[in-house]
Amino acid sequence: MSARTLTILAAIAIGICIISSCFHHEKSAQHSNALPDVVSYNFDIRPILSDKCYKCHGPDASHREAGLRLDIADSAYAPLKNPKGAYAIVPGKPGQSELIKRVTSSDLTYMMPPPDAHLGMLTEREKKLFTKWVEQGAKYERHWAFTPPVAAPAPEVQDKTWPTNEIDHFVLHRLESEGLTPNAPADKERLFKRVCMDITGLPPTLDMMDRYLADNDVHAYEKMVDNLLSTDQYGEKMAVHWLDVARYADSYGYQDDNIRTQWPWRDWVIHAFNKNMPYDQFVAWQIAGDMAPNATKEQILATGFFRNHKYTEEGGVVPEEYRVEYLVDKTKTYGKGMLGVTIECAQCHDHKYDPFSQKDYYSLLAFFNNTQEVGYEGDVGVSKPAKMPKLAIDSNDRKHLLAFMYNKDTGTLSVSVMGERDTVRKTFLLKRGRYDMPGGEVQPHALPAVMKYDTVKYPRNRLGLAKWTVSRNNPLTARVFVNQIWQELFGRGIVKTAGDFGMQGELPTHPELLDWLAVDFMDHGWDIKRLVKQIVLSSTYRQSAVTTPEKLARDPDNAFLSRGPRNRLSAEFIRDMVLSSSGLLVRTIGGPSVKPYQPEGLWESATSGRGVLATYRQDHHDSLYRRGMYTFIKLTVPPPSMIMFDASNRDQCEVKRLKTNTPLQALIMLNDPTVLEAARVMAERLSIGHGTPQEKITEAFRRIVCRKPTEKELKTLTDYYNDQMGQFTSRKLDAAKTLSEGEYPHEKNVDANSAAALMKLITVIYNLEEAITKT
Amino acid sequence: MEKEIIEHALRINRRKFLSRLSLGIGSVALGSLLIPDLFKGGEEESIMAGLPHFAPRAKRIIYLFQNGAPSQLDLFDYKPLLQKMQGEDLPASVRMGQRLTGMTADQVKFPLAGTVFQFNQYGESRAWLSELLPHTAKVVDDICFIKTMYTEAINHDPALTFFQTGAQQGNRPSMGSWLSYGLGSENKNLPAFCVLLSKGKGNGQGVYSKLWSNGFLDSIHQGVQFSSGENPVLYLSDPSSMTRDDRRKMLDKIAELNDDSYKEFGDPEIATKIQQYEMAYRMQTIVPEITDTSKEPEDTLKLYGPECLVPGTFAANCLLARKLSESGVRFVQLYHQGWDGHSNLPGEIKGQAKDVDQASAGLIADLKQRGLLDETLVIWGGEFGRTNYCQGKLTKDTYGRDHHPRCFTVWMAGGGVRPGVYGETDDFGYNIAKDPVHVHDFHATVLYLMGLDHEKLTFKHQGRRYRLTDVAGKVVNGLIA
Amino acid sequence: MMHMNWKNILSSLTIAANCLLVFFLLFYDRLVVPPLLQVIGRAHPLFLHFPIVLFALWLIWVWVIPKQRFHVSGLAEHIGEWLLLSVAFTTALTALMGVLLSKEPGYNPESLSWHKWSGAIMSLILLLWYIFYQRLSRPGIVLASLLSLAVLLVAGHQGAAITHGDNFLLAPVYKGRVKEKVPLDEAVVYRDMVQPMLEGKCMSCHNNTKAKGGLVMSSPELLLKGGKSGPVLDTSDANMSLLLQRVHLPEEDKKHMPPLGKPQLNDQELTILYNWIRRGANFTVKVTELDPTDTLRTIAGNIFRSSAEQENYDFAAAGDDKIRQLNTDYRAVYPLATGSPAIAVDFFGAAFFKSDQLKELLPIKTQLVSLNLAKMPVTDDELSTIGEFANLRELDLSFTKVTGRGLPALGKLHHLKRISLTNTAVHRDDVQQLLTLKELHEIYLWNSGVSYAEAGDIKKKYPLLDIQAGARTDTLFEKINPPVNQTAGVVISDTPIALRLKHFVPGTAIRYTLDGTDPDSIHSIVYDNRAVIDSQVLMKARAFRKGWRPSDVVQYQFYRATFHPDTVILITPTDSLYRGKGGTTLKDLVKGSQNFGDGKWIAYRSRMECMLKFPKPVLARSVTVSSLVNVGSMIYPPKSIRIMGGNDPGNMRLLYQLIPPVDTLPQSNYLIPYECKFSAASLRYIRVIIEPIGKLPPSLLPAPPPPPKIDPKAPPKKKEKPQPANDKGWFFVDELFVN
Repeated sequence: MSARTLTILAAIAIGICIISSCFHHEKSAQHSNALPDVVSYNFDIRPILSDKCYKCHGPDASHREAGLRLDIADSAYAPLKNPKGAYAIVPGKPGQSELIKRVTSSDLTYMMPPPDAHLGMLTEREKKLFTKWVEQGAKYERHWAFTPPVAAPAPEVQDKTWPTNEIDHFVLHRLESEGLTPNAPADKERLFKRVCMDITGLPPTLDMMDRYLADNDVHAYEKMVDNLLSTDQYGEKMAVHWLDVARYADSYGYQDDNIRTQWPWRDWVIHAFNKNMPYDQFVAWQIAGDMAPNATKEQILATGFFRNHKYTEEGGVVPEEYRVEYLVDKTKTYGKGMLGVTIECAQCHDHKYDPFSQKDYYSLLAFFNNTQEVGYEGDVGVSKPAKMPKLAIDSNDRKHLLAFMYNKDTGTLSVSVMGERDTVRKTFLLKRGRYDMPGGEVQPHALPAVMKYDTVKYPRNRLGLAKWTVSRNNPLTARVFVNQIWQELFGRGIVKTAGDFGMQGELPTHPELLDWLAVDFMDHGWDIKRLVKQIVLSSTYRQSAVTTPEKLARDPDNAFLSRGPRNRLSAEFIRDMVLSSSGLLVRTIGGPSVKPYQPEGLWESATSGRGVLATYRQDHHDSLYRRGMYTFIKLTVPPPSMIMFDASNRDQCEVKRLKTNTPLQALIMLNDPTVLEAARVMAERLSIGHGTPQEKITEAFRRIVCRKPTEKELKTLTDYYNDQMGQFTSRKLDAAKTLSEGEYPHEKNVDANSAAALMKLITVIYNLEEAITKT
Repeated sequence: MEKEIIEHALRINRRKFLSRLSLGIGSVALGSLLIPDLFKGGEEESIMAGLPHFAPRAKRIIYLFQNGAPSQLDLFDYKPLLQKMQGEDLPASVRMGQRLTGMTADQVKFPLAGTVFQFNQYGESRAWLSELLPHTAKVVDDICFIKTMYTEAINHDPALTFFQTGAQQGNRPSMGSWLSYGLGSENKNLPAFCVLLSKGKGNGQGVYSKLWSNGFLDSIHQGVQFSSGENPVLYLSDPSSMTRDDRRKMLDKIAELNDDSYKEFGDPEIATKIQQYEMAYRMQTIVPEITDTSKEPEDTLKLYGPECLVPGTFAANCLLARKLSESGVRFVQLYHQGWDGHSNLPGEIKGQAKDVDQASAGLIADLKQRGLLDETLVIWGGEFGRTNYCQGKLTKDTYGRDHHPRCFTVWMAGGGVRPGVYGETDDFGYNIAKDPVHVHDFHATVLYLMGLDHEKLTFKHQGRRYRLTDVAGKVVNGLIA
Repeated sequence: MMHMNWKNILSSLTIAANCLLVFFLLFYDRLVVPPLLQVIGRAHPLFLHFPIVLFALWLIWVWVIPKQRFHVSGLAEHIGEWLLLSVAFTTALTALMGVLLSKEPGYNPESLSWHKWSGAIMSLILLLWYIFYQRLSRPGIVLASLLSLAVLLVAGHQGAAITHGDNFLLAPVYKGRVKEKVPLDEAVVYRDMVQPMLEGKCMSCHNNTKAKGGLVMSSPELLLKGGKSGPVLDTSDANMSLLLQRVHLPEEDKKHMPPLGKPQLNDQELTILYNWIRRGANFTVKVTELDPTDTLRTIAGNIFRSSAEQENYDFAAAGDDKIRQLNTDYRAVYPLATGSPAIAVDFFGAAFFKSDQLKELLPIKTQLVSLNLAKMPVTDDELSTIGEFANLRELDLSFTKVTGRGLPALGKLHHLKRISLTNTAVHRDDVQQLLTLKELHEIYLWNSGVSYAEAGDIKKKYPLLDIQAGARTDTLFEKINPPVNQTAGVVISDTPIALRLKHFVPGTAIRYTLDGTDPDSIHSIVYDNRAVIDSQVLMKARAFRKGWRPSDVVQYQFYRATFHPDTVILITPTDSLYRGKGGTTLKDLVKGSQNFGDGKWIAYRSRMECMLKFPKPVLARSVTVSSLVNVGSMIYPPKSIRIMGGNDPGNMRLLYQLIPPVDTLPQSNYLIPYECKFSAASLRYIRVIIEPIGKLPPSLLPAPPPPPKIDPKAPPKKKEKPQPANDKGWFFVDELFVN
């Protein structure tokens, strides 16, 4: 009896033991807890150093405590000032390393980081890592992102059948090492919507869907991808991201916020993507197109990139203060958008985390300092559509040189572009970043920490900078862009912090893959369409987006890519989806931005009352149905429906949009006239067509969600339709009133009741989570 | 000893020993369940619990921002010397080569301009107020006048941006967003941060949505623009053809379908989406209740002035601000344009003061009689001050004043501030004589009153931990009761 | 041999318990105790008596009772072993419970850790001891028992100290001082800021017994007296007294205080010391007497909590889960601050209120200190529930349905500080019973059954009570605000337009006139929504309301456009900045606003000449030039307006010439129609010739130029290169009306 009791007890105990231990294993796996055999400086140590130590012991000389610098081996190994005879790091001897002693100490006066730094203590694991790293000799390495990418051969994987191309080898390799298995491919319809949205930003039309579904050729998918890449909408889709990078807007920003004409540059971007201009050329032109030997107007137009930022027209500003502010913006945009580094942090002091000195910063800024641009051209009273230096574009140019441009008569246009002065303007380091506190003079010179600036190869002007930027050996340019594209397609970059490849940035989840893609990209002439195709053809991209609690627990934001991407559409494309599914979309490319429906009084309540944008004059007819990217952006009052869906407010260079989920978004989908009008128009068209209600509902569903509804869905929807039908016929609801949405002309001889019922139904479909999601 | 242990172990038979041991292990396992993060390190101090760091003095803020910079010299900062020296040049010793805006930089002379308005002292603090603020005079005993605010910017846009976001340039989160991030929303059916705009008759300078932007914070912390009138929140009102039940029915269908795809995909975003639609519905129910001013008693009119029923006026916004605040909105931000008196200042400021004085004072009185003043911090002020010398032509009855960042007046009331007058400016009203308060200090203090430590309220973005107070700012204890 | 097995089980359990104990101690700082186990933990103080008693028994059994009497061999042994085992077992359990209990907040960590460890050691010793029981020789047993006895005493003593306060046991023997936190407004600089530091870091040596260097710090007098090396607090001393010198010497220095190795003064303490001495080492000055900006005051602000926050709650926290469960969309339940046990509850959304939602709060009735029910349909019935919340400090019942009837239920709220009955049906007598609550010092009665007068005499009776009867508005006699014009457009072309005047204050009368006179409350037309405007008139309107003074007069100009030209040709070009839509601007019937940059205006600085062409001759009587004056922006009435007309562009006669009055007042800024009436004539063409004011006399030239922001649309006045044209005044026009 007692024996039994004992065994039972023991059994229970062991049971619990097992349960609890595995339940911990799960956690630990999540935190990939086991210490690596060899601690890597770049991947294990530097992130901690950078996050917890560099603030006071980093590159920034001015804020360095105790003269200790931990980002460089020599100074980290050197004897400390105090305590005398001690060393921060003694390779191989954690016991003697002050650093280890302090991070592991719990004495508030002794420990590091000090409590009052509010940096938080190191986790146990971090402490262990440090100790192990020192044991193993505390080896420093160059920051991964500042060493040129080298393409490693695609790794071997167990499951030979899954991979389609190299990408999959890298991804699967990681998955297998994480003990995860990839998802099955997504079903045809959903995959098709996904790829259409990703390449053109538009949902597939009914007949595209039918054709694709009917096509059973093994290459059907690839063929479709090729078609999509060849449409003009591809350029528009790609441009949107670049407009964020370039903080493109239709007004000058700052208080009076008058109108400007930069849209010809925007049209050029679309054009460049559509004719698949190689990325190196794309970048080079935007940096220094104007300086190219006998530059064409197109090349000059490209440099509008650096003129998109805000310009003040506030009376009484100190011009120099703003001229400097504009240079700062240019430098920041270049650094963040093209090099993926937060160079702007070095404006007032040496960079706290990355090896960029304040001098480096102003040497970089010096490249832009030589334009004819001035800080202030007078106030809003004398505001012009562009600020010097300008490029004039007349109708003749639009016929020949710039044929890609939208050519309804818009008179002669002038666009702000870059243009050098004949005499070189001196550049000085500005103490504390203050325009009125010049320090020593600096020469134009790109970031030495990233790549040597060989003044023999590269002249000391923007032309040189352009060459340097797109040089085959520049470790950043290709990586950064490839990562941005990846982010656009998967919703998360291989480097999550797309704008910061520096010390404080997140580490790549698949370093080898990133490098492989970058090198492959450069090897194939910086061919963007090829890159996109490569990715969307991969099995990784084609996976279904279904997730399980296990996968969710193991990998909440799908960093390891064990499932397909599932992301909400960006603001512009939500609008595009609504317009195109309802057949309202006007597919004109480019041209002046348009002013669709917008709640009353927004501009009026915020304006200073000056300038032509004091009041919002809504457009009519076709202009109401243009793609989201053409909606007029007044910087001080950006279009609300866009902002609420996390569109960039274009105030500054932005490489990654937030993705939020708010009640205001629900309200937009429910009450925005654009949505209601689309629903109405689709409803009217369907209602005059033939077919049973079910068929009509199915068609509406397919147009919006891009797949056939399930039995259950169809039933739910039909019930709703019938219910509404009842409401309208019994006059409980007012059909005519319901249908009175939007300016688009009504269809003739519509049965109001069925149309209204359909309209309500379609509104429901528009409000489905799946409707505005790439699934 | 060791030997004995082994012997003993051998003495009791093996099975028993094992059973005991396993029991031991078992107990450990059992215990390990009580230690959720057994194999984790101690996580970084979690800064955001949506709770104050320490007991707050104020729960909510109503910020009456006077956009365009009111003239402290004609409202609060009484300087008889200027009247004595009317028209004389501002001594260089006082000016000390301070930078000027482009509007007066090329002015040859800086003729001192004393105010044309009468000043009197009021309340226990004997605070000076001009005749332009008769109603404010009645509530002086609840007000703390900061005579010595100063800033760095000399132009509207940067100065305004600095006051709202703690930085002159750049897309930083606004004060309200920081509070929303730090304390969350009191009332789950309303945004934590609301914005109300109005315009005076004076020279306006415009406001910009970046002033209530969430910057790099989650856009749930973005200021939501409210307006007095039919459509208080963008896209809130359903089409007139729709009834509430009808909407309810539609939402139920949507939820039903969304729920199916949640079952299929298990994506938490879908679950959130369903909740957000619910909250949208609740907002539709509750916001109109709150924004409806028709049931306000007659003495509300008497307190705020009858304008408070005219949508879009400052008075109406003050009333709406009270209603939002008492419904648990953390931070209600008003902007009132029109204080930029570069010329004909006496004329313009009369109108401005008339628009603002009664409603501001009324708000305080109203909060007080409702017992809300103790827990509501009311702030009144502009982005900088105005010069003691005249811009443009100085005549006997009119003058203009340029921007003046070196000293200006901001007042606070309720929410744990100490009523009275804080700080002193020199006799010229040009420099600070005693107790300067920088914009960062102001921010630090306001956060403190809300129970937040401005050094702990940080957000990590692009590798840097950002604060509302950037890298400076200290709590001004003299302002705290 | 039953007992044999039971012994096994018991001993196994003891081992288990000890393993668990050790384990807990290893991960002590990350231990999280769920509520259930808290209960067990709290049994510790009770349970601990078992091991003690059993241990005592064992001692007696082994040492006192003579064993010879037991004839059954080994029985004595067995009983002994049994006792010991049960001691070991109960001790282990007690220790475990202790660990659990120790996780609860509010224990002094130092004495706690002593107690914890001694307790644990006790348990382990007993375990080992039991395991090696048979092996132990008699002296071993003696040793063991003494050892455990000692540990037991230590543990016990510490335990007592924790539960009954520091040094509970020996307190009667020598008196130790217990300090509690001082509120800011009572804090004395020396007593509460300086002395504690001296006690902590100096008086271990400089006390009455030791008096190193002859210095004793225990009292102000002795401190002033100083030591061998003279007075330590000589504030006249150039380097601010010996005391400061010593503490500021480099640490290596022999004379440095406190000596190397002893706990040093931290920066804050140094600052406090410095400032205190600099201020003349005053022993009595209070923190609040210092200047608000004084450094000491600032530091004090962080050390002491003002009495507002002082409140040290003596109840335990409710636990996050409970709070989380209680939170709903309409009921916010939250602790006052991180780590505070006190809870506040706010209700929102009257539509969703149910009285159960109050009852649901009973589980946290101890922690609930602030309850906000404003605007909720709370009735007297619910007040009984509220009466349960014994720790309530703040209660907001404003705008609820409560009446005096229910108030007695609140009589039990002895901590209540503040209650709002704003806008409720309570009366003077009902309130009376609340006033007896000792803590109550704020009561809000605005718009309640209590009149200003009654509030007044309550105030007299209870001078310390802050009673808020609301702002008196009944005495104010204000001006009502003017009506608002919502008429669609101001131009009557073919059909009359409906006059739309609105006043936002319900029940306010609007009266208006069309003859240019100011409306009065007797003769002028009372507005109703049937009113229409059919001619070119100046409408003046005004609001009247009982109990208010009449509003200011507001006026609106309406225009009539009978004849519509099919083209307007601008003969002289407009200024480049204000082209508008060219000629059509003048006939599109769209009025411009005072923001003359709105594109609806065209402007001239030199002669304006234009031609109106009608499809067929029209019988015209007047031409109205709709214009604008804005002196600040150099926009003036024109010098002259000439109207010519005829049926042949070649030959036209002058119909009328107007010389508008000059206006140069700097603040002038208004829209103005210049009506040119002439005897009816049939015309196909009308030519309008306007001479702007031209060169302005220097007196009118703004000098220095007004800042651009004042006159946004005036051309830039660049000082560097003066443009002669710039001293010309402007003329603006947006419409020409022919009638």
